[in-house]
Amino acid sequence: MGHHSTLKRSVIMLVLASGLLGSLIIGIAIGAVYIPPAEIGAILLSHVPVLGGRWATNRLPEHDIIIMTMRFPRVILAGLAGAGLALAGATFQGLFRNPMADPYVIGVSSGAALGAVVSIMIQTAWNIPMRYGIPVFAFVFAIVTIALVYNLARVGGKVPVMTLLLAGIAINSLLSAVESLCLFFSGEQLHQIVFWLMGGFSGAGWDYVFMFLPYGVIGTAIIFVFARELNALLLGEESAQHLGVEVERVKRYLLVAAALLTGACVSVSGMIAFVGLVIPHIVRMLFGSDHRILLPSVALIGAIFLLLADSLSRIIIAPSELPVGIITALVGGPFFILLLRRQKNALF
Amino acid sequence: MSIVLAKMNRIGVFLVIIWVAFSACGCNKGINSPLGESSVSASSQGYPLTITDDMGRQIILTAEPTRIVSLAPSNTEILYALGLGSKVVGNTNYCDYPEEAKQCYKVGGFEDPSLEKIVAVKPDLVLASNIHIPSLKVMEDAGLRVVVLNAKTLEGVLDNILLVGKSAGVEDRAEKLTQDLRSRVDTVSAKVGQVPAEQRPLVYYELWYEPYMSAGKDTLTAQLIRLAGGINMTDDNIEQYPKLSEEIIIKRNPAIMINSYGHGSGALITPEQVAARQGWSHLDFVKNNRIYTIEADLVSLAGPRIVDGLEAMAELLHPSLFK
Repeated sequence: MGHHSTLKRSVIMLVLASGLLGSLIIGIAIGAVYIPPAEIGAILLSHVPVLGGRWATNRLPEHDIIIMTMRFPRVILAGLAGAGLALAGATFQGLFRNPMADPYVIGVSSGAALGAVVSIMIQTAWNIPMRYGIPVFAFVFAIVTIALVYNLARVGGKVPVMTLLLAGIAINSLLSAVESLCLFFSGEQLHQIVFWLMGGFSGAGWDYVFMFLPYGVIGTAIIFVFARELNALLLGEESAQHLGVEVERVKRYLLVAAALLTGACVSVSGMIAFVGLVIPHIVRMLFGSDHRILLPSVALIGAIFLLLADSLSRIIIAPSELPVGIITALVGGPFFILLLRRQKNALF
Repeated sequence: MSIVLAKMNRIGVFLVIIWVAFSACGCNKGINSPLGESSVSASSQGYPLTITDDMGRQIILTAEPTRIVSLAPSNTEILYALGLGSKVVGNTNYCDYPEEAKQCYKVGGFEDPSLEKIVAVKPDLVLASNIHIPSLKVMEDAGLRVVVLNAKTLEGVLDNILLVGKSAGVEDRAEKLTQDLRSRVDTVSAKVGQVPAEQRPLVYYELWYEPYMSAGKDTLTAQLIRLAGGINMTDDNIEQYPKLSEEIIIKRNPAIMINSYGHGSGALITPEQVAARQGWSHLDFVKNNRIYTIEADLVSLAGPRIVDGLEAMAELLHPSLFK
């Protein structure tokens, strides 16, 4: 097994990495202002340290600014958020052994969004500049939400699809009510917050990337470290325990990691639905459910998916932009219904 | 609800823009302009200049701005009123006054302008509003000089006119304009000031009709109603733009209704339609025919036309004083 699967793994990673590179290129090539591909290439190459000098000519300074301060950080951020949401989804699904688990469906995204809204309101109410604190609030609210949902949904040692969805609906509606209440009192910030909640990357720059990175990196690292344990958990908590996995401790780490990722994603891009649901499923269909392959593939395909969705959002009603959340929901909604149909026999 | 409606309305606006873009491609003067970075050297007396915007940010202007982008209709109106229209190289789809502003290169919507298009027209000054705060950092990273204007009072509007005038090297014009505006405000105040408190009419301002919405205490509109010698019916509401129950309107029975028009897809509601609303026939403003209509921009946009709005409002509230 060993040799064969290593080869398979390398091939998969190579293919996905090229796919990611391709979607990054598409993302950088598309925008409100047309810049010829050759010029984009020259701009990017001119920023390569040492060697870049020879491409420094033949480019308009304003095009350089557009590429380097707007499109580049934007595609990086879309990729990071896509990877983050998909990884969070894969983790929740593995942990709960439940195919419907997704940060959006089970209310964690709503929790994170409420945290972000609260922190934005605090910032303006007391005029405290703490932009980089938004993910912390989002994370804390996400973790409280996931604790609530988990405890509500758990029946014995298991988290059945039914109770998880119901708990998700209950918490989601409670959170959105609180959020509406906050918006009600937010006065002139209302527009700003509502626009951000719709989900998307327009107006994002390097500051958003830096805001995401620390939380995203820690969350991802924890999840990757526990890939084997996630595999063991697929056999059931008792079996995992027999295999020497400290189930409760692992679960706590993984929940914190998934909440961190969700909080970071929501803080920089608002509510983007279904990435965490769709991507892990597609990957499982393609490559099976060994988390050592699943997790990196999920991250890469999640990044590719959101990058392409974001590119589409920029051209579909050009010169204006569609919030990318609409596109992911249009793709994810039918997928969710399909999964639900397949689950029906198991449920009733 | 109204947000959803506004968004749907925007899609209509988008389609119109696409159509305009395709049918009139030659109008993008901003992008094709021969003005390069070499054109910075205008009359640069008094520069570099440090100004402080409505967010308390300090912005250093190294030379007199020659290429200005406006990201809000109110900013656009200030620029044109100061005779700076020819320097505006970009504004938003919502900038429709004065007429020339419609012909200007559009960088996108009010809340979602395209940052790329802003950079592409190479502005040396960008006048933003508080709605653009989330993108401030990127715009600064892109080397843009962004001034945030966010007037919440009439006084704030006058300050903004002075600030824009100072930034763009037309301080004298701005002084003149604000003095004129101020004296017009004073004229209104002098007339209305004699009106004793008990004769000040209770005013219902209808911002929107589905649901009924009005203007809360801290809005320009509410300030205008007070300055025009009226009492704003919704001054005790905590929200900026409170949604109202019909019962409140019936209960308070205001003496005057000011009906606004010109919000996106909002239809113009006629006094007859208001009178025909169920249960409204007993209201004083219906019985006494005191339903008036004012263009929304005059009483809500933080530009120089706000004083037109004040004068119109005062005349409607106290016609006998303005004969």
